[in-house]
Amino acid sequence: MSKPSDLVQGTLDMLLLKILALEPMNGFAVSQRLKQVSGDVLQMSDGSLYPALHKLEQEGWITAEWKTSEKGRRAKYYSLTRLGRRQLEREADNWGRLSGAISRVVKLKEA
Amino acid sequence: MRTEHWLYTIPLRLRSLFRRSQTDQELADELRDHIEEKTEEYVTSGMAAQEARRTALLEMGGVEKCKEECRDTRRVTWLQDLAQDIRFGLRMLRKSPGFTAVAVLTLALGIGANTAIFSLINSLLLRALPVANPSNLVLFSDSPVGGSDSGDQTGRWIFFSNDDYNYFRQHDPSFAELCAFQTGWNNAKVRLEGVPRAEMAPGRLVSGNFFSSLGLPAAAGRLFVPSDDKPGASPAVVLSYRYWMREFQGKRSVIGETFQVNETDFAIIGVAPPKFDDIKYDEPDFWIPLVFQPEVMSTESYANDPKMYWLNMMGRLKPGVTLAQAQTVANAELKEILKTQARPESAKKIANSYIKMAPGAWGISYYRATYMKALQILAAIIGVVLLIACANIANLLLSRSAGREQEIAVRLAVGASRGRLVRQFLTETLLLAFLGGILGILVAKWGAELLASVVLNVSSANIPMNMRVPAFAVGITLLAGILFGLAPALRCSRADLATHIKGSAPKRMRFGFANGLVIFQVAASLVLLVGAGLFLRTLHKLAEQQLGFDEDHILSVRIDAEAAGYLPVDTPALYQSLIDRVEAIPGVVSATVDNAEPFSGSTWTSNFSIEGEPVGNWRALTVHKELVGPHYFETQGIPILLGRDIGPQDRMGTPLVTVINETMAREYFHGVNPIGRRFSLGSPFNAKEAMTIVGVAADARYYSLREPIPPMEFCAAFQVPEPNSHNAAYAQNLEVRARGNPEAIATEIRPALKQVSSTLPVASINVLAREVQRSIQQNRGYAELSSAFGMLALFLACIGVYGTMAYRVSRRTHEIGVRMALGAQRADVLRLITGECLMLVGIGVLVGVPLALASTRVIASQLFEVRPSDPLTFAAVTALLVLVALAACYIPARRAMRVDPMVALRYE
Repeated sequence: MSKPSDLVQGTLDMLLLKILALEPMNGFAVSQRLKQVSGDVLQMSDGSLYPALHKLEQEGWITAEWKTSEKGRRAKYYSLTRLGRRQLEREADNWGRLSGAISRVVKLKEA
Repeated sequence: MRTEHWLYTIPLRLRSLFRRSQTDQELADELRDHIEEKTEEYVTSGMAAQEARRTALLEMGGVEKCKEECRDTRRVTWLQDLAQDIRFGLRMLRKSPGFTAVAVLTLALGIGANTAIFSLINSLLLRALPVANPSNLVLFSDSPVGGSDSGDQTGRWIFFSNDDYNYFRQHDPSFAELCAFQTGWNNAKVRLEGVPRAEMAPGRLVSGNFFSSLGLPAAAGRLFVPSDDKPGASPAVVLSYRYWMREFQGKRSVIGETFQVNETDFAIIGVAPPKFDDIKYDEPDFWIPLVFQPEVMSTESYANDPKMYWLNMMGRLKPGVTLAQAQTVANAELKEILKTQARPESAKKIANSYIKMAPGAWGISYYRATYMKALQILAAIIGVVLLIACANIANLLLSRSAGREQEIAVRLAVGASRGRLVRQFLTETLLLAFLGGILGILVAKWGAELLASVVLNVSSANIPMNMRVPAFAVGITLLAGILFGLAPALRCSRADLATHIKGSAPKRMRFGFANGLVIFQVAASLVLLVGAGLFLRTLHKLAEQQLGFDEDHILSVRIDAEAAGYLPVDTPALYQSLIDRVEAIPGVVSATVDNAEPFSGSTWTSNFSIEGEPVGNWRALTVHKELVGPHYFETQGIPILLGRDIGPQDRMGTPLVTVINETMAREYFHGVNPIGRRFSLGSPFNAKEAMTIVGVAADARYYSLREPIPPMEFCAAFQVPEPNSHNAAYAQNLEVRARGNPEAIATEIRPALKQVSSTLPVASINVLAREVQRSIQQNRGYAELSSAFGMLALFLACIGVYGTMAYRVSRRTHEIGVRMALGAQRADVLRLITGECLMLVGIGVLVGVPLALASTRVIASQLFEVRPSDPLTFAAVTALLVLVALAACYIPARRAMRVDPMVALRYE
């Protein structure tokens, strides 16, 4: 992925939040899910994934817990908080409006 | 919403602050887990294990960087940074313990000394009276001079008479309250109820509204009201808190008890509040209303003499009145008084008289006036030493930081911001300053006591510490830290990356600054040492001064016949019995009486008129008067040059005689034999009270080691004139000459005197030699302190020179190697290094000498027979500095000489 600008960074946060809204998972699983769901279009470099996750945790939108996975290994699981859920809704709304506006401009008929 | 946000995040932030290691571990685990899972994934999809792991790592893009970024998101910002800086700073300090120890110690000394002197100044000079609303209190005069003056005042008026006080109180509109108090105090004979033994205690006479003007509450009982100060009032006395605690253990039952002062009974009506050291900071034990002055002082009432000036006045300004306005009004009133007084004064005198007012809040501090100069000088000295210490530490830090160039460059390259670096270095130096400051407070406590007792002769119990002192210590610590820390910090962060990483940065600039510091140290040390030298020489000269009498063998015993109730006519018999009894003690050669011991600080001057000489300017003839007993000069060891000593034949009823000193004979009789001439005190010549000169004695010093000996006349104490006359006085001192060491017989004196008179109070027994020593105590204090600080400064400068030279040599190893390879001998290298060192010192001396000349002029008044520009002192100090500098650069020079050219050339 190209270097994210502020706009795209905010969108990234929204994506992470959405994925964690589905179910709690650890960082590796988040990046795998993102790749899978977007059909390999959206990928995050590992070096920016974890700082992003930590930032989300710092903001209080997700919370972390050390749990033992099915494979018997201890991992840090992130899950969405109530605050995070609200933030997600807000960001989704913003995105909807933004993408709708962009689409309208792009779909303008050329004369 | 925001609050919820914060509630969620605060535990997290706190956790990352306090559970750092755990948080870090978790982060490491998390990233490691990710790598492992990724690797597994790749292995599952067919990659080789090692390849898989490598790819996973690469995809992360640098584990440490990732960790750092994660940590960044968790930052509690500056608090965490500060903690990190402090931890790092402590670690750096621990790595070089020698440097840390030296730095902290020098700082502690500098900061501690400054704080000590500040607390002294603060308590003695800045402390306000603990009275209500001190800001609108005003003193009539800003001079602390005590005493009383009968006669005329000209120029600035300090003392006032009862009439003056009454006039001002009735006519001056500026003051809501005007009170008056005695300028000195009386040592009165005091007897407590039920206690047979009398004691001497100091008391002060004050007007009835004294305590109410100051707005003081009573600690027990009540304080004076104006009706206590009216004629016919019942005698009342107020005790001081300290006296009440000491004598009565704070028992409230003393209120109402009888307190006898000089044979008059007073009732104790109350106790003044604690911490009220009275206006003049010298504590009386009790206060009595003005109206009882005749009883307390055992003289006639001063209220009858409009020219008996013995009161200070203080007033509380009415709201809206300023000090300047009050001063104008008071001056006008003064002129009115002078015009209408019983003996009208000349217009010129009226024009000359004025009153200067001062804010009363500071009180008339005896200490403030006497010691202000001393404290200022001390403060300057100590300030300079602190500067030198800071310069030293700056130098040390600079050399240390120079060695850390590479570290700094690497840090900058890795991404630290310059601001962060400066902050970190500043934290290091502030840590140093903080450590030094803590130690410094301890030094301050101990130092203040030392200073107080050495220079001021004051028990440090009188010097309380208050909140301002630690605040000052903290302030000066921060200042010191910034002073010596900022330069190296800024210098460090300006490192040019590439060259510094290579280690071949240009070194010119740093040399200049370090050199400057050393030069400053040398100059400052020179100034201090010159001062010390001058004080030492002054002390020496003072100690050498011949007194003119045999102080090593004489004991002075203070007695108070007046307090015991003896009338002047009874005193000759009393004194004779005392003398006879004391002379009977084995080891006593002779004994006599006089009115005050030498160097006690009291003088008695008078005008006089010589028989047969025209009146002329009678005011110009002044003489110092002493009242002495038989064989006085023999006892004191003063040679008689002409005529005879006062003898036992000079008693009541025989013609009045006197012995004059050399100076008097020379000045007023111009070398002509004065034996047989007569003069009388006062003017004009009064034949009835005239005294005949029967002898001329050699000059002796009675009052001061510095000032010239004044004309003196010694009348016979046993020839008491009419009681209550101008000349009546008591001889309050017994002088005892011992054959050997006077201390040996000191213990026998009191019992012997008690045998003669059981009611005679014996106030003190002093070895005269020690009293003389005490009078130059202040000079001794100056000499000792300035020498100590001078030595300290020298020591610091020595370290500074050593440090700089060592550093320079270590930096120039390469250059020295080149020189040697090109043919320079070891001697040449030695000359090179030593030459540079001497040049530094030379410039320091050149800078320091004019500085010293300028500053010593300030202390000129404290010197004695030594010029402020004394060349001997300057030369000696310069030589000392050069020697010390040479010694300091000896080790670096030797190290330079030992440089092996081969080694030096190969390595940087």
